[in-house]
Amino acid sequence: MKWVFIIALSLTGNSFGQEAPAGDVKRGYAAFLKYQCYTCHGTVGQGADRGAGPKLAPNPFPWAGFEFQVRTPRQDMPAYRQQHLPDQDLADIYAYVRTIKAPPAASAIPLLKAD
Amino acid sequence: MSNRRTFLKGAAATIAAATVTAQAADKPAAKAKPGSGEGLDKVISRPGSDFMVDVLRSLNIDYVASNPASSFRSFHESIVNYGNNRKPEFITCLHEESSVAIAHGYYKASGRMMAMMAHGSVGIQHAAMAVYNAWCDRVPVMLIGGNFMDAAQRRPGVEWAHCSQSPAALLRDYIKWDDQPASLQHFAESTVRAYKMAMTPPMEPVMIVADGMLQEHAIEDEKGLSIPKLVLTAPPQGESGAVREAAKLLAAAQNPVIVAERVTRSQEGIKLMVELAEALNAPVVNLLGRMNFPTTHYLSRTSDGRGLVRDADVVLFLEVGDPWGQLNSISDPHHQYRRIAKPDVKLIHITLGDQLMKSNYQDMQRFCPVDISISADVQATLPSLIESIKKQGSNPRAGRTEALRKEYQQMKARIRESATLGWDASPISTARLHAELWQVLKNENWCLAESRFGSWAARLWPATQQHNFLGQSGGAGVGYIAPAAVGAALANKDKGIITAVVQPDGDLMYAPGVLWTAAHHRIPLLSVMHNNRAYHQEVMHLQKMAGLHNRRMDTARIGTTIEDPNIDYAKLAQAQGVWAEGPITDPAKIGPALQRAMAVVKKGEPALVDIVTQGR
Repeated sequence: MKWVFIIALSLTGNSFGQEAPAGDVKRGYAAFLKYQCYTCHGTVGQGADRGAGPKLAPNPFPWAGFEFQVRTPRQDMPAYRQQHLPDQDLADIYAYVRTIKAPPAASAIPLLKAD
Repeated sequence: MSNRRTFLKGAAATIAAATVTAQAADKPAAKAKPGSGEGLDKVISRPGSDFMVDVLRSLNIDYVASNPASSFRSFHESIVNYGNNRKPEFITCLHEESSVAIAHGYYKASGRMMAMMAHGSVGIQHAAMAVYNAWCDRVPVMLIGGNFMDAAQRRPGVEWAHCSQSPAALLRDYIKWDDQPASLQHFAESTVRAYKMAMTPPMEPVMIVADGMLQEHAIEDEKGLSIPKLVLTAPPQGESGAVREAAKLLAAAQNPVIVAERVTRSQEGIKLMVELAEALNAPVVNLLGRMNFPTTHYLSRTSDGRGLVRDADVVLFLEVGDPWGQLNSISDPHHQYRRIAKPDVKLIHITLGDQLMKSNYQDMQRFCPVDISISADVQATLPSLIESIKKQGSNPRAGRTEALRKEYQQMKARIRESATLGWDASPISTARLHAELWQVLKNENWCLAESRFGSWAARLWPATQQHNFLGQSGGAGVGYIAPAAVGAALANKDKGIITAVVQPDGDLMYAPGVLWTAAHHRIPLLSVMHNNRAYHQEVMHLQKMAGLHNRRMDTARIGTTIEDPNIDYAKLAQAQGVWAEGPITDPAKIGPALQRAMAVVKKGEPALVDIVTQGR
């Protein structure tokens, strides 16, 4: 499915190289909760169990792909259109998601070491 | 003795006499003779319900779960006094839904059928959803409904409201068989028949109505009564020609995949599943309706299931409820169809699904055409299938073992890495919750009373025993998990098996009184709350609908959350006599709390730790 997504992006004139608009991380976290992104993706963008939603962070989509997925999502995600999620709020959300740090590797977490 | 025959005879006489003395019904049925043993000083030292207890004993039914009710008061009294409340023991429940689900969980942990009792009307109505779960999950439960068939004997008022012409009518769409015996001999024969039918695959709940007067009246001719011998039916094996054809197809396949759902009944079943998978070197996608397959085996590839099915040239379905859904998908909410499997994939299904299907409730799932359809019990058929595969000669995948081992290790590494995401988050990630729970279980002989396909437990934990993962409810009727876990813990308590459950908050609140049942009966169960303070799936459904309707989504928590006020599950448990801690929001505090809880469970008591979690 990934190639379908990439073709769709190219048809809209977007590219992965597009720079993200300025956003506020603190407001972004509040918006992430307000618009309930966390219900499927977890409060730190970790994704959720049993197929609720994929992880968003660390290393989120580039801005163009992120915006495209939010506005015109593929598969089961509901569309967050501009009238219900203003551009600035989306930019803030992206700013927050970009700041989410990578967790330690599984090998560094005793509870997750292979038996 | 008031049996159906005398009742009908009396009823006929009443009809004949009605034109003569219409007012006779206002008068008492009979006047007691002083000293005759009838009336106020009447004693019934050997009621019919004593014999009913004998019948349950003959079937080795250890427990009867029930909320007490007048329509089976005599049966109840016989259990506790005549039977000394042992084999069967009365398990006091605060809701009939709990009674059925306890029996459901008990069977899945023990392989033994349990009974429950309910009023023939309101009790059965309470029980109905849980019976449906058992039906969908192919689990036998002996349902006993109390009822007073003889209207002339009913007390005015509530007793009428609590009786019905056919108590099983409400359940008949999702039970295998029922009867309303009119005599004690009839009761014995029908109860043994019901037990036998319920335990014959496809296993399902059955119902026997115990007439109130039959229970309460004296046994008239005890010497004339007998309890039939129970001989369980051997489960049906697959037809030999069809099994041979299936073996040929599988042995010649380049990329066979085994998809299993409700397969194993015992450890022997797991051993056979391993033998089958190894004979084909075929990966197994375990939908976890039962334990089915060890998660430690290199052919256990559930997390890679979609890709494996996509690339398969032959798929062997083993008692899969929805094979169509494994090969195709329909998106939500746009209902777009997508084929996952190859168009020419060959399909084999061994299932008893075609043997017992009813019309009204649609748990049969979408029709899935297959190339070879074998109507049989899987575990009973595996030996002949394995033998037939081995006779086919060389396996084209025999040289792939090392590659398959590597793919398995890669899958496990991916799962562990994905579990690190949100590791220190609060609310606590479900991966962290499961990893913490594993720390207190890993050195025990353990059972997870409810275990879902795709859950962190299924993905992370090494599980090899039939009792490790007991699967799900079957019908996805909410309210199953808490009582089923109590039932599983009841079955496990004398076996040295520690029973744990990851307990969703919404599920517990359907009938939280089951915690009291666990405390009252000293049933050791470790409940770890998956407290996301919502019916989380419904939050996501609301978001989908709002997106579909182009409306705001920040309202999706209205009507879907369980907050403001937050429920204090530790207090809820403590109020019912269960040791409890929480709510815990700091992941670092989970481990010590679980260790304290485990110490309580090991002493033979239930314990609950409330953990505030991410949605999923």
